[in-house]
Amino acid sequence: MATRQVPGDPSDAITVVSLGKRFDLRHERPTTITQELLGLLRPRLTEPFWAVQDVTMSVPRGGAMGVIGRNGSGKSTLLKMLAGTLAPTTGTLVVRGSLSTLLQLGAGFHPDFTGRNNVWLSAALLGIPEARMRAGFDDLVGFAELEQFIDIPIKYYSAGMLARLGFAVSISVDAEILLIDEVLGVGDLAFQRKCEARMREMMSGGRTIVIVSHDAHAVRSLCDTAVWLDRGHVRAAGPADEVVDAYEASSLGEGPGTVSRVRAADVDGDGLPDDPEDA
Amino acid sequence: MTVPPPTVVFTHRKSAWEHRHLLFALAGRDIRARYRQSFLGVYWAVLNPLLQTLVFWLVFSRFLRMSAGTVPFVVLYFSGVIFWNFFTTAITGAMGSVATQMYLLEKHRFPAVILPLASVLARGMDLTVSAGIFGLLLAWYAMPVPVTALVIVPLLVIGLAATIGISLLTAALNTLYRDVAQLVGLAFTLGFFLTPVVYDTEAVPAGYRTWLLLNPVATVIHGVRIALFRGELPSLADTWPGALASVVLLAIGWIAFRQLQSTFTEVL
Ligand SMILES: Nc1ncnc2c1ncn2[C@@H]1O[C@H](COP(=O)(O)OP(=O)(O)O)[C@@H](O)[C@H]1O
Ligand SMILES: [Mg+2]
Repeated sequence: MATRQVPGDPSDAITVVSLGKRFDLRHERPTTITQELLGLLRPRLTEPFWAVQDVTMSVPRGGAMGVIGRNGSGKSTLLKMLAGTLAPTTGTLVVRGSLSTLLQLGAGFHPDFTGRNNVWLSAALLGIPEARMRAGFDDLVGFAELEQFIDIPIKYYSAGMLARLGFAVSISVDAEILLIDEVLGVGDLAFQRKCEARMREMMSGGRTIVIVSHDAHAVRSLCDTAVWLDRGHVRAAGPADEVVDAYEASSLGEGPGTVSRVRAADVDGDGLPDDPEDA
Repeated sequence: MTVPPPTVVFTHRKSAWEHRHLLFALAGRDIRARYRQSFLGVYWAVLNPLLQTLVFWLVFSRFLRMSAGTVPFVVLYFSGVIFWNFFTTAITGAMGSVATQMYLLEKHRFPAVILPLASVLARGMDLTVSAGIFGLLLAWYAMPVPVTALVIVPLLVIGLAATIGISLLTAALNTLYRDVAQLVGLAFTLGFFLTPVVYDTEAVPAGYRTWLLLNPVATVIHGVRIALFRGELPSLADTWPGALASVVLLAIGWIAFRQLQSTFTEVL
């Protein structure tokens, strides 16, 4: 096969053009082989659902992009496609550089095994060479501040401890691109500062970062650009400050005096006003 | 409504080969989890085949007065039990490997095929320990090991190919359907009788034997017994049907796994 021309600007770490992810929601997915065989006689009812649709964006090398949006707007789906764990349905996706990912808390940790064992397995999953891991293990545990707990099963860890360990593993990869989904707000303030400092250090070293976050503050302070996803579509994209402002304005309704109204309407407790269709 | 297919380029995607240490890390964790409760570890590899052998001896040679020819019953049965057990436990473990470790697949990009392969590899540990016990049994009965025993190596390749093929197929189907384990259990119950564990292939009429030896596990057990107990090599005619079946199973498993793996992380 001839070498394919890689689309997009080669100076970008990530190029995404008209990317879409469709889930075929089957009303009654046959859950046994027997049902499936019987079901061959009947037509299948599926409902296409576009979790991400027509998303176009790019992240320059060394840039930091935030992805914001309400629950269910497709942020995690987009990040999983960037991470390569979910295949897109259509569109173009180019990722130029090695990847490290931190997709949700305790990414790939098994509760019954010790912190040490989980770190080793995660390292193997992330493709960190064994020699590198051996050399960097103590630093990693030190960064996570878990020296005393590294040999107990992680089911005894708190959410904050898990977040620290997960973050420490992800940044130990020394990858060119770091993808982070909703994990920044978990540790205590001191640890969050430490993470932010480390991410800034990585960015100045030319690393590229994509952060999915509810935390408007983190996106504002860390990211140059941001994308606001709304029901799978890009609602706004551009400088992080502007996008976050627009998102917050929309979340809080228009004009002064609406904040209390919004609070009253926030029955699902996500800190955002409820969708009319949520009711 | 059709949409143009996606174009996906990852410039730094790691190959299966670069993930090889993941295979050993997962297999090691599997073994450690089972052997940590040392009783259970020893149970699977040592006590289980011995117990089975004991019960088979009681039922088939005492109750039913079947003859085992010149080979001691215990040795004959054990030589079948260890391979049958490897085959069934490896597939049982691999069958659930993808479905139960979805949390890894969703969060890390690595070749999914490593999960069932690691399960099979982990059961190789049990096979090794059981083979050691078998060696002790041979020594106990003062049975010399002839040089033809080396044929076990190619025979193991045949058995392993079939095991991996079925493992891949069932692991992939198991992410979609909940009755895979039941169907496999049923197949094992029937398959046990179509595998020469508690009887010798010599006792099977020639017309049936050709069909029986389409079963790769039968091929392995048959070949190992001829090599060990008679100091001869299994004939090509007795070996190629099982070898062919193995290759077909491996191909089916591989293709099914490749077809289904892009949906692994989508099914809820
Ligand atoms: N595997 C899946 N099958 C079907 N629908 C899914 C699947 N994964 C996510 N979705 C749906 O896609 C939408 C976007 O989900 P997600 O990307 O997790 O949103 P966010 O991270 O922004 O909260 C949601 O409506 C969710 O229910
Ligand atoms: Mg999410």
